[in-house]
Amino acid sequence: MATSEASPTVIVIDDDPGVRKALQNLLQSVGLQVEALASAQEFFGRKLPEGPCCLVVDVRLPGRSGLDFQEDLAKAKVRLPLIFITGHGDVRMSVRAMKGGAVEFLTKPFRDQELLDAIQSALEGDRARREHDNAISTLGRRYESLTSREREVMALVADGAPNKKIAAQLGVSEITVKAHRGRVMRKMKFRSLADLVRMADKLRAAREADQGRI
Amino acid sequence: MPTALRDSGITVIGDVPWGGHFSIFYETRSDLLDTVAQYFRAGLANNEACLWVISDPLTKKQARSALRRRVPDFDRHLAARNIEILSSHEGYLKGGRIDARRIIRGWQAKLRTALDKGCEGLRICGDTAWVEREHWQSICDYERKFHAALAKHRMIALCAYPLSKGRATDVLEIARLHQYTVARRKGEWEIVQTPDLKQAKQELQRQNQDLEQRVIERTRRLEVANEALRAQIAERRRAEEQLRAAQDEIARVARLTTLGTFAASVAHEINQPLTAAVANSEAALRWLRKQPPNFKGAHNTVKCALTDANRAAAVIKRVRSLLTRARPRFVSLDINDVIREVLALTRRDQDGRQISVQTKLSSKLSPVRGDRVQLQQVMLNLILNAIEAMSANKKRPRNLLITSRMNRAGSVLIAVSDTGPGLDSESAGRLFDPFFTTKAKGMGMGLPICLSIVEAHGGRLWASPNSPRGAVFRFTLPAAGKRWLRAKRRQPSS
Repeated sequence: MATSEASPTVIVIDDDPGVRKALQNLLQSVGLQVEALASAQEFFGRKLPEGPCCLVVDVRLPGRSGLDFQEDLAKAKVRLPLIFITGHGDVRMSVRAMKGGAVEFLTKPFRDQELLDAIQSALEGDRARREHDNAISTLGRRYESLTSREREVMALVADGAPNKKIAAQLGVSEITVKAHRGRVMRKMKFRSLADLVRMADKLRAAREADQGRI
Repeated sequence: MPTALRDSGITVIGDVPWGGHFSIFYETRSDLLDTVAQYFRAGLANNEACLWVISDPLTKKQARSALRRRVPDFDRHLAARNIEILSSHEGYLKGGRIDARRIIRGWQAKLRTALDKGCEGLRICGDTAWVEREHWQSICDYERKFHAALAKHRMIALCAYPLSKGRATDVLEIARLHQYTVARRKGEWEIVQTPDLKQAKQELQRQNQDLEQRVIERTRRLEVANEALRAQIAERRRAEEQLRAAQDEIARVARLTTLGTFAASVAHEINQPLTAAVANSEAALRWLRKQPPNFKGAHNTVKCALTDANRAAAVIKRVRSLLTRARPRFVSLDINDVIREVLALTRRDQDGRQISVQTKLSSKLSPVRGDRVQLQQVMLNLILNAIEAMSANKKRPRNLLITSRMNRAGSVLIAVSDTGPGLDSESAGRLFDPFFTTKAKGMGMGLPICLSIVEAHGGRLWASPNSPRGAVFRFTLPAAGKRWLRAKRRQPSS
């Protein structure tokens, strides 16, 4: 766990004050930050926490049910891992929840370790996702600082073309290609050619994913 | 006339019915004596009075000695007047001529005497050796009338004719006048068959066969009908069993459905605080396991767990109070007060349906220990049932009678009688079954609840028919005191 990161937060949504308080107590006893909410509506009215985060949601909620809330999250592009808890779960309900991307589906009363394990793995997942997202956005910012000629050179290098071929293709001298290539390495903070190839792939995949989503 | 057959004593004739009239033609005196002795021997053995009208040349003395040799205990029978020997003059020829009516009246008088003595009937033998040609027509006339008269009486007659005196036509005529005629031929007795007799016998045989055939036929048809009936009964019984099973199933499902819904909601109600209590307890343990332990955190979460557990307890308490309404409060009370209170409550029902209410409440009742509200519920149920039962028929009088008194066992006995349609045997057996009802809108829970309340009070509740119509529901309640305490110990849950 990176020490610079904000501490992880669990958001609990349950309309039963007793259960809400108990979950809060349990999670605090293992050093987790807890935000306890009585309804799904309350969630959308607030700012998302800085650090890694996951949701523990009762399926049976007044107003929008837990499963409705899951759909609402997807629509709002909030990609937080979700753990369902329920007093009387049936198979159909749990299938729908897992298809919607839920991490776990626990039936009350559950063993505390079951819930804590589920939370732990949910937070790991969220942390990994955040790191990935951060890396991509840093890479994107650096890429933005490149000139168009530098971006051309980087793309050709990533495709495995030698300097000579790049020079011929761009109609410049090999010396000039080398100079562009050095600036790309410096601006993008690449440490090696392999670094360049890998990062260029990541960047391309993220951009394609972005375009595909829009 | 009894149809029982009598032993004629004569082998070729065998058994004969009362009214039997037969003749023998004999050749020698010993033939006659042998046959007559066999005849009387059988009669005396079967408790019949015997009468022998002898004929010259046989004397009474000779007749007696002949019988004495051939009939066991003859002298005793003679002394007891079980057998009497008359001369032909005494038997047939009183007044010097043959008067059929007088002779027959004479036999009838003898029969009455015999029956008065306790005999089964009268057995006569008449010898006609004295009969001369000039008597022939008279004797045939007598035989004809006697034959007709015999049929109605417990009498058997054997007419003896000497073969030496008869002509062939005479023999035939005599034979025609008797059911059987036996003759001594070639040293053997044999039956003389007249064409009439033969024909009658054949006709009888034919009718017997016909009858037998019809009996067989009828028996077969009865057997078939019987079989069908048995099958119907079995089928009906099966249908009744199925119906009963279906009713039981409906009752069971109704109970389960209600119970299932109820149980699901109770389970959810308890599950929530239980989940919270478990989570809080786990949290408390974690606070305590920390180095150093966090007592404040543990304290707070244990307090939360306690709140959760109390919440679960409250749910249970709510459920229990829902099921039992309220715990019964047993106090010493006068059941007459309860009766009066409920009667006051139901006044509107009584007046609205023109019910005449009568009470006979004993002033010498022991107090009973009981829950006033529950006992009111029992009285209310019984009174409303009675009123409802009487409301259907507008013509009959509608009398509701409520009585209370001490019974011999020292319990208080309360009776609610109505003049309604009463209980049929089918309903009577199931009155106290849950969900059984005879009412269109009845739940079938009233009487079972009454029963369980009365039993919880250590009493009994039962129904019986009222006279001349209607039903009576009676229940007992033990008088307060030792009796009540004993009953209470048997029913600790009440």
